[in-house]
This record gives sequence, structure tokens and C-alpha cells, in this order.
Amino acid sequence: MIKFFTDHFFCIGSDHVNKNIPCQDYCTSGTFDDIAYAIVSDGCSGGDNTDVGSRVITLATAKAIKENLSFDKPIDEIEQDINIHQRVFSKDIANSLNLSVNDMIATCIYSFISPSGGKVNIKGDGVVAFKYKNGDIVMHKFSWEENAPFYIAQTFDRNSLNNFLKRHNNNLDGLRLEEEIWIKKPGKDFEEIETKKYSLRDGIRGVTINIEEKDLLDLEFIGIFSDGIEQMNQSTSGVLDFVDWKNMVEKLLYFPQKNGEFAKRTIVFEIKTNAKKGSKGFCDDMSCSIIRIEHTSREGE
Amino acid sequence: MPRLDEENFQGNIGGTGFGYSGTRIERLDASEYTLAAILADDTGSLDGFGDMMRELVAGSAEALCYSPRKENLLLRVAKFSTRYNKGVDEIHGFKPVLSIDPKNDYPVFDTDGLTPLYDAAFSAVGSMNAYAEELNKNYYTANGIAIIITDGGDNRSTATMKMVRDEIKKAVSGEILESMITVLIGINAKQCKDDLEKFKDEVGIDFYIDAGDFTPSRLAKIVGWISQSVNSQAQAKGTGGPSQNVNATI
Repeated sequence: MIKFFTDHFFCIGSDHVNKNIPCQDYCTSGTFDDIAYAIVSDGCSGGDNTDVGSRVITLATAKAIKENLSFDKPIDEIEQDINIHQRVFSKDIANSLNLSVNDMIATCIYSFISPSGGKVNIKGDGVVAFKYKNGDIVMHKFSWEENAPFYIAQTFDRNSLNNFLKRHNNNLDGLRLEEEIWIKKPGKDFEEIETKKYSLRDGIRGVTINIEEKDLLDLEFIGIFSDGIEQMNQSTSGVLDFVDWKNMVEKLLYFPQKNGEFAKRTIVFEIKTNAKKGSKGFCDDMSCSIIRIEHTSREGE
Repeated sequence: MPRLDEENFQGNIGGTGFGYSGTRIERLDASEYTLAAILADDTGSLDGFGDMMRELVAGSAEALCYSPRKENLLLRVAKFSTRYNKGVDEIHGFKPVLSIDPKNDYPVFDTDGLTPLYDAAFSAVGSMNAYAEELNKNYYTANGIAIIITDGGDNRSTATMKMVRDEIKKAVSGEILESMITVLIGINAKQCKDDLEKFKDEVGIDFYIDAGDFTPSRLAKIVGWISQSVNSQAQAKGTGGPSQNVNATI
């Protein structure tokens, strides 16, 4: 029997504190009816009220997941329905609150999982990681050319979409999104598996990582992170010296206790550990949502 | 080595033979906690006040169930008297206040024996340090408040003043607890006020509070003070320092 548990946490980056900007990351997670979901969203710091935008996108996505997850439909169809409703709900809420596109420009990575499998959907940038029961971690980093990720809200009106396309040379076939895939086995160094490139068209549609039912047997954690994970500043002087994102993923997927606020405990521990050395922690806002998969041999155990 | 049962584990304070117990770490869901320890006098000089001592601890525990930070409060309650092994008898170890049954969890105090004040102070602070170390190993963070309620100075402790002083220093300098507040409350203690103040100064206890005569109306005030002080320390969690809102008087 499979059980799911989730936790999530977001924190403001030191750059935002210094510039008196609110935290523009948001995340959530939860379980219902044998299903778990995790969502992170990162608001563009060049936008307007994207602290609100990232919350709207996250909560709209959560609503889309809850209303479209069903055991009666194929998983691919479920994902399509979620994507449609994610956009519709986000736009409706934005309109009802008179939020402009500039308030809503935020990335979104979400994952849903049931005992039959699940998916991770990436619109924008960030990191997705899978930690297995044997300690192996497979991690995927998504980044865009020009550091100009796709935001769902850019499809809310023609002008915004055109500006985004122009930023990417108006070439839907151009390779503008990169996915680095690495593996870390216990006791070994990080090993690059491959680097994939996606067209602008595919980046706008969103990239999907499939989680098959058979994968669940060995999988223990699914972690999704905003790109703030790349900016843990370990320097104690004015110079920026970031912990490598892969090392950060490995640290943030270590949980001495796996109950309750397990993700929050680990993130706070890492921030405080770095603070003791004089570091200011994450420069950029960082958000993280984790799904834990627990296997029991019999019902009730 | 801690002894285990399903809900709690039993530990030792640094191999001293002083024990304590606490909820098993894997049963704690939050990321941070305030540890509160109340050590209450159960000696012969409080003969006739056993019911009121019971009311004091049960009332304090009940009040904490209404704290805005109740999900993050762990409370340990113990009695002290020379008739107990190592001067201290634990009523319950660190446990979530919401799991406490104030009506049934607290016995009437028998009030017999002499006063092992140093044992009580050492147990209060040392148990907090030891439990917080277990929390830290598992990435939890904590702050603490230790409250020792007594009507007299020390008679015959096993622990020494140095042991108490070292545990208090360890609490913050050892980075085990984010902050720690230690309080000595004197009840019916007019005659030993000077001794208690001296003890407070020599070991580094933050406050000595003379609560006056132990009457029903004073009892209610003491319960209110304990509840308000624990709440203040709980709300200071995360600030890096102790609460600035603990009153120096009752």
C-alpha cells in the first residue's frame, strides 16, 4: 500500500530584503483521496505585484488539480485538463482582482501523483528532483536563454505574448529552454546524464516528466524547487559564492525525520547552518514543495 | 542510551544520573518548539498546600492549552523533595500541551521531605538542554523557559551550584537553545528571600520573583504569570533572543 505525505516552505532572499521587495515565491502541497500534489511558483522580480501573482498562480493550479484529478481518466488527459484550468482559473482570478499581466508573471512547476503514477509539469524554470529509497537522486534543472522564462500570464493577452516571442527571436522552433539532468549516487560524485534542449513552442506548452506506476516502488521523494535554490550564498565577504545547485538539492532532500514539517526543518537548518558561518543565505527567494512516498506491506501497517 | 516506549523516550542529563523523559522525536510534527519546564516544591514545609500545588501546575498546563502557540509548546512537570531519587520526581516529561489532561494528569502533592533546590534547578535546565540536543540532531529548533517554584533555600541537593551554572551557560552558549529564560518563584518564602536571591545571582538565573504568601488569589496570579511568560517566550521563538516581555513581578 502506498501513502503520500507532503510539506512545503518558501523564504525570502537577501536581495529582496536589501531592496525592500516582498518575497515573490510561493508554494503549496497537500493530499486528498490517495493523491498528492506539490506546486511552486516564482514571481518575476522585474514585474509589478508578482508576490500576489505567484500566489494566484499557485492557488489556481491547486484548484485545477483538485477539480480535475480523477481515477477514471488517463493521466495524460488529466494533465491536459489541469493545464487548461490552471490558465483559466489564473486569468479569472487576475481579472476579478484587476491584476495586470505584469502582476501575474510567475513561473509554475507542479506535480501530482496517485498510486497509478503521476506527472511533473514545468512552465518556466526551476529544479525537479527524484530521490529513491537507495539514496540515488536524479535532478533536472530547467533554464531559459536570456534568463527569460515563459510565464503562463504571457498568454493572457496578445501584446504580452508577442513581447515574449520577440525576446526569443520570434522563432517557435528555436531551442530556448535547456534541461540538465544529473544523478548523484551515495558516496559518488555527481554525474551528468544528459542535457536536453526544447523549442520555444515546447517551452510554452510546458515540459512534462512522467512518473510511471512502476517508478513508485523505488521512489521516496519528489522535490520541486524554484531557481532560488541556485543562490545559496556561502560567502562571508561581499563576494557572491553560491553553493552548487546540485549540492543544495542533495542537502534539501535529506530529512533526519520524515514526519510533519520535514521540508521546513531541513531548509531552516541549512539557512541557519550557513548563517552561523556568516553567510546571508539565499540571495533570491526560494520555494520548495516535496511529496514523500511511503510503502507499507499491508493495509493498516 | 535512551530507553524507549511507543510514545516517549527516557534520557539522562549528561551521564549525571539525573533523568528526564520526552515525546519521541518522530512524533513531533512542527519544525520548532518552546520547551517549558515547571519544577514545583513538594517538601514538608508546604504541608497543607498539597492541593494548591496541584492546582498550580494543572492550572498552568490548562492555560497553556489556549496559547496561540499551543501547537509548538512542550511541557515537562516535576516535583522536588529530598525523598525522591536525585531529589526530583517527574510527573510527565516534555509533551505537547494539547496532549495533557489537566484534570487527570496531576496528582495531589504529598509535601514531605527537605528542599533539594539545586537538584530542581539542574533538572529543569539540564533536561531542557538534553532534550533540545536530541531535537537539534533532527533539525528541530527550540527555545526554553524553566520555572522553579519553591518556598525555601537548598537543604540537601546532589547537584552542585556549579552544575546548575554550567547547564545555564550551556543552554545559550552551546547553541542548543535559541534562548533560555530561567525563573525562580518564591512562595511563602519571605524568610529565605535573601538566600534565594543569592542563589539566583550565583548560578545566573534570570529572575527571582517573590510571589508572596501562597493563597488561592496568589495562586491564580502565579498561574496567570506562568502562562503569560511561557506564551511570551513561545512568541519570541525565531527572533534569536529571549522574550523581552517576561514581567519581573507577579
